[in-house]
Amino acid sequence: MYEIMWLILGILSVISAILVVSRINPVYSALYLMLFFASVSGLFAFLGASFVAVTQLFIYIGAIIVLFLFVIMMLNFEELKKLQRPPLFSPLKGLILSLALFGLLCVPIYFGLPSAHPRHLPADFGSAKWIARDMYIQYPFAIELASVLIIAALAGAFVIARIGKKAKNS
Amino acid sequence: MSPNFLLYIGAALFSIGTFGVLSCRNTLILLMSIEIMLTGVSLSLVTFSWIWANSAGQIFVIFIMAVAAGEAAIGLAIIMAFYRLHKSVQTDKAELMKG
Amino acid sequence: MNETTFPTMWIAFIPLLPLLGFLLVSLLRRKLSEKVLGLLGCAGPLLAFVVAIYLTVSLYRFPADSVTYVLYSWIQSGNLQLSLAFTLDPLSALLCLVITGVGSVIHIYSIGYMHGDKGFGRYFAYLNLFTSMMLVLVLGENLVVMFIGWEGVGLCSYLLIGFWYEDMEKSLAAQKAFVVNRVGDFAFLIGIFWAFFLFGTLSFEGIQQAIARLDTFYLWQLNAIAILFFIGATGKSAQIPLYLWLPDAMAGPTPVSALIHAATMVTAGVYMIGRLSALYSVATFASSVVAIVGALTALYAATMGITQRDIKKILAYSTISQLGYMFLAMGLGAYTLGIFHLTTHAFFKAALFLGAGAVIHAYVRPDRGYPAGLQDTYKMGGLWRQTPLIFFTFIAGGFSLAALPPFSGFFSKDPILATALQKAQTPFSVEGLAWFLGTLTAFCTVIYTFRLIALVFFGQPRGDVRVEPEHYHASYTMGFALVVLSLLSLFGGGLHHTLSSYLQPVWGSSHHTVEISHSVHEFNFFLIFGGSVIFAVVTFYIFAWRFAWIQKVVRDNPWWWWLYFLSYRKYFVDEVCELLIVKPLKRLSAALLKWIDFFLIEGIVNGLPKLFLGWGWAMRAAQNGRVHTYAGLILVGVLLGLLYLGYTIVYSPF
Repeated sequence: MYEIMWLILGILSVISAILVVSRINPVYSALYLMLFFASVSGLFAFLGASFVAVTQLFIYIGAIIVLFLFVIMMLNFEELKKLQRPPLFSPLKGLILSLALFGLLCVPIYFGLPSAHPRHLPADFGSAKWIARDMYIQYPFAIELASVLIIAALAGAFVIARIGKKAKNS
Repeated sequence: MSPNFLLYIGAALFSIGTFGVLSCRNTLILLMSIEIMLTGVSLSLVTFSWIWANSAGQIFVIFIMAVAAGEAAIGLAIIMAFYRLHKSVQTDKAELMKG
Repeated sequence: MNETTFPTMWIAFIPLLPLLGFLLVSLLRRKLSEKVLGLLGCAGPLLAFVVAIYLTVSLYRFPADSVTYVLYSWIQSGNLQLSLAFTLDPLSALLCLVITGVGSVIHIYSIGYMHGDKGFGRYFAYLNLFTSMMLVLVLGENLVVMFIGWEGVGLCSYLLIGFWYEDMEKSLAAQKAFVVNRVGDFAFLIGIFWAFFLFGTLSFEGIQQAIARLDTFYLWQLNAIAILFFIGATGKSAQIPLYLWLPDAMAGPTPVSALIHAATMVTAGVYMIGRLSALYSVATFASSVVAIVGALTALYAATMGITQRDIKKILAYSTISQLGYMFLAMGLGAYTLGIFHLTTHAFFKAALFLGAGAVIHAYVRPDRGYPAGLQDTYKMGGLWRQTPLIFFTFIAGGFSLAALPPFSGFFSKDPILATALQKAQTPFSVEGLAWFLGTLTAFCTVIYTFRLIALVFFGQPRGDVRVEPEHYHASYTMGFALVVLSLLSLFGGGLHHTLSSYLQPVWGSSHHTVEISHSVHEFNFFLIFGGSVIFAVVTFYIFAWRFAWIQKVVRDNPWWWWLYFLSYRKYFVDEVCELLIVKPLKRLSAALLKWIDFFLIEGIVNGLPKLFLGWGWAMRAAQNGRVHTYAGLILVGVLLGLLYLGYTIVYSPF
C-alpha cells in the first residue's frame, strides 16, 4: 500500500516539477509548483513524517506559493505573458548537465545503499512531539540561528524591495 | 519496493531543479526551480530519516524550510527591485558583471 | 688585555666610514657646494685612517695575532657557513693603513685636481665607494667577502676610468678594463668553488687549517686552485696575459690612476697571494708559475715603457712592471718582501702619478685658462724651473722607482732580487731565471724613469702650450699631497725591519726567511747599483740634451727603428687580440644576439604576455555576467566533485 502511494506520488512530483520548469507563463508554473509541493507533502505523509508533511503544506503552499502569485500579480502581467523562451544557456547544455548530475547522484545511491531496509520505527515517529524533543535538546543553537536568519531575511527583503523605488525617485 | 526509489526521485527532482536554474529565462521560474531543488533534498532527508528511524533528517528538513522561506522572501524582493530597474524579469538583462 | 677589551666593533667602521661618505656625497652632490663636497669626500677616508691607526696600535698591544669581527651570519646552507666578517691581522692592518693613508692624501689632492669639474660630486662618491670596497677586500674574513670587495673595486675602477663618459674613447677603455677583468674574475670564482669543494670552508683561517691536514694526494688540486686564483690576480693586477686593460685605464682622472691603478686596487692580487700564503707555500708549482709570470711581466712591461710618449702610459707600464716584481717576490715565497714592495710602490707610484697629474695640470691653454690635457712628453720639457715643487717630488718618486738608495724603492726591490739570487741553485732554475729577468727589468726601469724625468723637466720646451705657474700654485691641496707622498717615498724604506717582524705572524710556518749571504748581497747590490747608475747617467744625458740626436739615430737605423716601433706599438698585442679574440667574439655575440636574444628570450618574454592574454581571452567568456553561465560552471565543478566522490565510493575497499 505504502509502496504504491510512493510510486504514484513520486511520479506525480517528478511530472509536476518538469511542468514547472517548462512553462512559459509563470502563473502556470506557480500552479504546477503547488501540485508539486502537494505531492511531495503526500510523500512525506506516507513516509510517516506527519509533522513535516503538514509543515510543508503550510509553509510552501500556504505561504511561498501565495507569495509567488502575489509578486506575479504585482509585476506587469502582460509583459510576463509575452515572454518567449529563447534559451540562454541552451536547454541542450542544461539537459546534458542535469542528466549528468542525475547520473552521478545515482551512483552513491546505487552503490552506497545496497540494501536499505526500514528499521523498527518508534510509535510516535514523525510526530511533532518526537521531532521537537530531539530538536530542542540537540540543536538549540541552530534554532536560534534560524530565527535570526528569518528576521534578517525579513529586514533584507524589506530593504531590497525598496531599492528600485529609491532609484526611480532619484 | 525499497525506499531507494524515493532517493532516486529526490535526485531526479534535484536534477530537474538544476535544469530549470540553468535554462530558465524568467527569474520567477528560476526561483521556483530553486525551491524544487530544495524540496528534492528534503525528500531525500525524510527518506533517510525513515530508513534509519532517526529524527535528524526531519529536523534538517524543518531548517531547510526556514531557509527556503527566507530565500523566497529575499529572492522575490530582488525580483521586485530588478523589475523596477530594468522593467523586466529576464535574466539576460543582468550583465553588469560582464568581464 | 683580553678579547673583550679589544675594540672589535671598530673594525667594521674602517670600510663603513668611506661607505657613509659615498652615500652622503652621492645623495647630496647636487645640493652642496664643491668645497663642502670635497670636505665630505675626504672625511670618510681620513676618519677611516684614524680608526685604522687606532686599531693597528691596539692590535700591536694585543696578545692575539688576529681579531675577527662578525657583522652577521650571512649564508648558512648545509656545509656552507658564511658570515660577513672582517679580520684584522698585521697584514690587513698594514694594507688598511696604506689604503686609507695614501687614499686620504689622494682624496685631498683630488680637491685641487678636480676643481671646477662638473662631475666633482660624482667623482668623490666613486672614490669613496672605491676606498670602502678596497677595505672590504682587505679585511674580508673569507673568500666571498674578499670577492665582494674584489668585484666592488672592479666596478669602481670601471666607473672611474669611464668617468668622462662623454668621450667615447674613455668609455671604451672602461669597457675594456671591465671585460678583461671579467676573464680573471671568472677564474677566481671557479677557484672559490673548487676551494670550497676541497676544503669545505671558505674562511682563510679554515683554509689554512684544512691545508695543514690535507694529504699530499691533493697537491695537484691545490696547485690548480692556486693557479685559478692567480689567473684572477692577473686580471686585477694586470699581469700577462690580462695586463691589456691597465694602459688604457689611464683614461680616468690622474688621481684615480694614482689610487686605483697604481697604489691599491692593482695590488689586490698580490695581497690575495699573501693572504693565501698557506696555499701558495704548499703549491710550489703554482708559486713557480707566479714567480715566472711576474718576472716576465716585469721585463715585458718595462721594455714597452721605454718607448712610450704619453706620461701616464709610461707610468702605467711601470706599474705593471713593478707589480711583476711583487708577484716575483710572492712566487719565491718572500711574502714580506712582496708586501713591502707593495707598500713602497704605493708611496712612490702615487707620488709619481700625482706629480704627473700636476704636470698635466700645469700646462694651461693660454686662451682658455684650464688644463690643456697635454700628456705627450715629447711636447713637454724644461719644466723644472717653472714648477720646482713638482720637480722635487717627482724626483723623489722617480729615484725610488729606479731603486736608487736611499729611496724606499731600493729597500724593497733589492732584497727581492737578492733573495732570488740566493735561492737560485742553478742558473736555469726558476729563481735564477727570475733573478735574471728581474735584474734586466731593474735596468729598464732606470732607463724609462730617467727618460721620463729628462723629457719632462729638462731640455727645451718643445710644445705649443705653455705653463702657467699661477694656475698650478693656486692649489694647496695638490702641493700638500705631493709633499706628503714624496716624503713617504723618501723615507718609506726605513720601515723594512719593522714590517718584517710585524708581518711575521701572518705567514706562520709558511714563510721561510732566507738568510742572504754576504757575498750574494754584495754582488747583487753592486751589480744593480752600478748598472743603474751607469744607465741613469747615460739615459739622462741623451734625453736631456741629445734628444734630437737619439731620435735621428733611431729613425735612420732600421734595426733600432723596428725595435722602437715594436715596443712603441706594444708588440702589436692589442692588434693580435683584436683579430684573434675580439673579432670572433663579436661575431659570436652577434649570432647569440640574433638567436638567443631575439629568438629565444624575446620569444619567451613576449610569449608570456601573449599566453596570459590568450588565457584571459579564453577566460573572459566565463565572465559574461550571465547568471546561467555562472550556475553552469558551478554545476560543472559540483559534477567533478561528485565524480571523485563516486570514484571513491565505487572503488572503496569497504
